[in-house]
This record gives sequence, C-alpha cells and structure tokens, in this order.
Amino acid sequence: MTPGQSKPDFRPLPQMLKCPSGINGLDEITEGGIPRGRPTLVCGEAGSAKTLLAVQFLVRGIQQHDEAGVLMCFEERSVDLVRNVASLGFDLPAMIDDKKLVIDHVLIECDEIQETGAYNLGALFVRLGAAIDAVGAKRIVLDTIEVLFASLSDHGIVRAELRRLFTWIKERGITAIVTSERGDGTLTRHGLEEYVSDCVIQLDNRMVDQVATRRLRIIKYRGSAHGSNEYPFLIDGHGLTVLPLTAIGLQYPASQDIISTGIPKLDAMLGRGGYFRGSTVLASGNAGTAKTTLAAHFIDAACQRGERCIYFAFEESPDQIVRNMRSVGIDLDRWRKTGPLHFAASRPTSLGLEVHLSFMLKLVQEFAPQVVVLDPVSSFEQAGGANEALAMLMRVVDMMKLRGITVMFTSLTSAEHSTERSEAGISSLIDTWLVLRNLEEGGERTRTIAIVKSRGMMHSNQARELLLTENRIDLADVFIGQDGKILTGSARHAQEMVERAIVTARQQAIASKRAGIARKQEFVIARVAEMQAELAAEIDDLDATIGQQEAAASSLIRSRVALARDREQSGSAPLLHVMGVH
Amino acid sequence: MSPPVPVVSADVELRPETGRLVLQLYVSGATAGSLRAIANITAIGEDSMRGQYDLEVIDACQQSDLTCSRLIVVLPTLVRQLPLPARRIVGDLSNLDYVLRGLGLDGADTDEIEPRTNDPDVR
Repeated sequence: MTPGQSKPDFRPLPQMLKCPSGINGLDEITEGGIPRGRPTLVCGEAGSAKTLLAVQFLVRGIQQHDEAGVLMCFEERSVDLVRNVASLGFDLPAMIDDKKLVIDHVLIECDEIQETGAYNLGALFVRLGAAIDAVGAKRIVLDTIEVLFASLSDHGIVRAELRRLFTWIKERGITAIVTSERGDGTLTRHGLEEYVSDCVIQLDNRMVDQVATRRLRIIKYRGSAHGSNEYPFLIDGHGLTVLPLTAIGLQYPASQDIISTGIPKLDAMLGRGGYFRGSTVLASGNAGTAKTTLAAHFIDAACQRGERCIYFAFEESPDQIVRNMRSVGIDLDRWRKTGPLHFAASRPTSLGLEVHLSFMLKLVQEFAPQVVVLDPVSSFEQAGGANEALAMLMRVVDMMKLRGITVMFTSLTSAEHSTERSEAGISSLIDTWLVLRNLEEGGERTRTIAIVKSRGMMHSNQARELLLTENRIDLADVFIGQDGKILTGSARHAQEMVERAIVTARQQAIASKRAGIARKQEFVIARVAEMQAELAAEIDDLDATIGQQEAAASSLIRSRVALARDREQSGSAPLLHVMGVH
Repeated sequence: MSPPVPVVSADVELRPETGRLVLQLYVSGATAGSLRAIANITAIGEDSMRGQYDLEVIDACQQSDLTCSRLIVVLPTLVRQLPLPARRIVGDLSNLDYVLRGLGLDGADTDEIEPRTNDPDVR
C-alpha cells in the first residue's frame, strides 16, 4: 500500500503468536498452542486436573523449548505438589536445581491477618517478578489464584489487583496459565474470565456408566480458530494427553503401498493385490468364521516382511492364540520370541475405554509397529456402550492413520443380525471390509468370505469359500446352484461332479455331431459330382443335337442354292427370294 | 542490599522478655498508602506503646528477597515479630482498634490467643 491512501487497510494481520502448551493433542486443537505472552484461564471442578495441566505446561516448556518457568501456587504446599506430580515423571526438584523452575507457595493465613484499611497485592508482584528474574522465566502458572478471594475480605481490592496483575503479565510478555475453580453456573467462582479473556479452557471429569471420562473444551480463544468440541483426555505416566476426535481426524497422508493379506488368493480378490498400507481393515462375522485366523495370516505376512506388529487380544490369551494358529500352520510363536510381534492381552471390561486407549497409544508409541490387530473390537461395546466404543475406535483409527499403521479389526456379529446392519456405525471408519459367513446346508457348515468394500481399488464381487487347512487358509470358488443358492462344502463337490459330467456329455455330443456333419459333407460332395456328370452328359447331348441340326440346315441351303442356280437359268426374281431367306 | 535481618528465633535470644514489640512494616515504595501506614504506626507506637517498640520499615520492591523469604503478599503489611506468636496486620493501619487488637494491645490478655490452625474452615 502506498502511504496516504484513504482505503481501509485489509492486509492480513500477523498471526497471533502461539506458545506450544506441551499437552499432547492440545496444540492440534488450538492450532499451535495457547496465546504467547498472554494469560490463559484453565477452569474446572476440583479434581479435574487443572494443576496437572498447568505443571505439564511448565515442565514441557523447560524440557522441550528451554523456557524456564515459575509456579506460584496458592493452594497446595510446594512439597505436596512436587510429590503429586512425581508419579507422572515430572522431576521438579531437579529443574529447580538446574535454575529452570521456581516454585513459590503464596499463603495467606486468615487468622493471622488483620485488615486495617486500604492495601494492595504489591508484594505478590514483587515475588513473582523476583521469581521470573531469577530464572529468566517465559512461562508462569498461577495455580488457583482465586484463593485470594477467600483470604482477603475486600474483594474490590482483590479484583482491581488481579486486573493489574494480568495487565502486568501481558506487558512483560509472559505466557501464563491461571487456574480457577468452576463456580455455580459460571466458569469461575469469582468471574476471573472477565480479566483473563484471551483463551479459556474448561476441564471436566464426568461419570458415564460408572466410568469416569475426563474432557477438555476450549471455551474461547480470541483471535484464533480452534476446535470447539469436547475432547476426552487421559492422564497416564506421561502426563496429560488430549485426544482430538475430529480436529485432526482427516489430515493423515494416504499411502500407495500395498501390503499382502497373507492369503495369496485373497490378495487376488483385492484389485491391487492386498490392503493399502495405513488403511483400516475390518473382518466381521459370527462366531467361528475364522476372523482370528485371518488376522493371524496378516500378522504372519507382516512379520515375514520384517515389519513390527502388535496384537491386541481382548478375548483370548496370547498362548491360546499361538496354539490355535499352529493348527492351521501358522507359527506366531517364533515372531513373538524373535521380537517383531508383541501381544497385549486384556479384558475390555477390566478398564475404562479411556484407559484402554491410553494403554494402546502408549504401546504404539513405544513399540512403533507397522501393523496392529485389535481382536475383537466388538467386545468394547460391552465395556462402554456402543457410542463410546465407536468414539474410541474412531480415535484408534486416527491414532493409527496418523502414524501410517495398517490396522485390522475383527468384529463378532451376533447371529440374529445381518452383518452389514450391526456394523453400520463402524463401517465409515473402515477402508477394506471383509465379511465372513457361516453357511449351513445339508447338515454341513461351511465358511465363506466376501469383500463388502475396499476403498480405492477394484475388488472381486464374488464370495469365495474359505477353507481351513493344516497349511493355512485356502479360498475356493463357490458354485451358484440352479435356484441361485450358494453351494459350498460337499454340495460344492457334488456340483463340481455334475458339472464335470455335463461337460463330458457336451463334448461327446459335439463329437458325434461333428461325425454326422462329416458324413453329410461326403454325401453332398458325391451328389454334386453325380449331378455335374449328369449335367455334362446333357450338355454333350445338346451339343450333338445342335450339330445335327446345323448339318441338316446347311445341306438344305446347299440344296436350295442348287435349286436356285437351276432356276436362274430361267429368271432373276427367284434369286432375290433366296437372299431374303438369309 | 540491606543487612541481613535477624530471624525470629535469634531475636528471641537477643531480646529477652523486655516487653518491647519488634515490628516490621513492609511497604511499596514512597506511595501515599505507604506513607499513611508509616505515619499511622508511628502515631500508634508513640501513643499506645509509649515508644516501647522497634520498627523496621522495609520497601518490598527494593528488598524482594526479604519479601519472598518472609512470604509477604499484601502491602502494606505490619509484622509483629515479637512477642511470639508472630502476627500480621495488612492495610494502611488506619483503623486504630483493629491495629491495637492485631498487636495485642487492646487490653485483652495476649495469652488468650486461640491455638492456631492451618485449616481456614476452622476459625
């Protein structure tokens, strides 16, 4: 823009500077972190992990960004706080020794204090300033500063001083997290959101079906886009992790690589020769339709390629799976012993879904697999209800896809439901869906496999019969009977015999027909020769007749000419008559 | 930097029960509030304590280490270091009755001070 122009200036303003929060997942939701150089309010009920979030913000700032921090706590004593967060692997005393962290416990003992006239919180500023200067802090945490309202009776002064404090923090350009207890119907008990209004994060710990789920929500973020949903979060040995459900859900890259299913004929049914790497595969079916066996093939193939796999077993113990797979000729034990395969077995109902998820996430981060199997995911519905289970699977899918891990779910469908219907919820998450069915006909149960969908590739539309042999799974073409029924097992064998007989009969019929035609051809050829001979004889006859006729005619002319010559001797007219005849 | 301030326990040994009050007044620079507090405590000291007191005025902003180590939050704060137990009075000391009560000079027996508890709910 040239100076002096009267047009309003619509140039995009520089983006708000953000400070990585150090909370896994939160930076994705906030598109980069909390506002740098400004205070952020974190509110929630007692026990909603406000302090933990704040401490993790400081610890990660020190560990990952070399930004020193100050923790000013108004509630907990420093020793208690240090002890509480030690279980999360936060070694605060070491950071204090390294001059990266200052913890200051601000306590006002009510019975010790007599208020006489006007006062201010100047000493708090002095202490905070001294602590910041001592380590060159870029981040500070004021843990439940609202305690001041309980300690000091003149709330007007406290309000004015807090307003001054937040202005002072902004002026110093320090990124701050201020925690606050949730009030009755309000975000904070004393209306702190009025002063700290750039970014407000709410934490929540709710009980659903006797299982507690922690949730985080960005209530406001001035001047920045942010995910507006409620996001579940977990606390484990690595601190606090937010699990964005939809915010980053569709940002993962798509690989063109194909990996084998472990069954050559199934590879052939999939147009590209296997599953896409990083895709999600679902094998659903009733009990005993070889879902686990299918998963074991996939694992075995991956291990043979030298990839790392995690098998999350929710119904069987690892030893049982290993034993059972040996019966179809798959030796999973060698992979388990040599390293590429890791079994993780637990009952879905033993832990809440969130804890399961955190457990998986942790293991996936540590083991860094290329292939993961969850067998079966249907059991999570028992553990946490259908909606919760679906939300969890969605997060599992996000988690795996972000890391480019190919994941296979097995799902047990109850016999009375149609397979497709009962899986309607999960279907949208799945890239390749294999349906395994049990057919019972003529006192025999047989298995079939069909591809319901396989995103991004052509695939066979035909069901195949799945044969469990001592040497892995084999697939056989199924026969469709006269009445449109699928024939498998011995019915398929019978049909194969029938078809073979039909083919033989057809071949015989063709041969005899061919002989008949040959005979007919010979007959026709002979007949043609005969007729040609007849024709030739007739032509000869005709020629002979014509010859006689000509001979007769020429003798007649000759005799007439002779007659005329005889008459010429008497006049000319008879000569003209002779010429007219010619 | 100011000379190191003797800790309370040392004070007790240095000044046996002489009846003198040992006071520290933390203020924030030469503001109106600070000056008012200094004027008030001086007046009270002359009137009610007949000069039997030692007062140290500390500028919290200048002596931040002291402010930190003594866990001062509010300014002005008057600390009665002796006699024990220590007591704190905040504000500009404009309410004479409150100040006297806070310093234990309101005629009531100083020994009647209730056992203190850290639990704010038990008051």
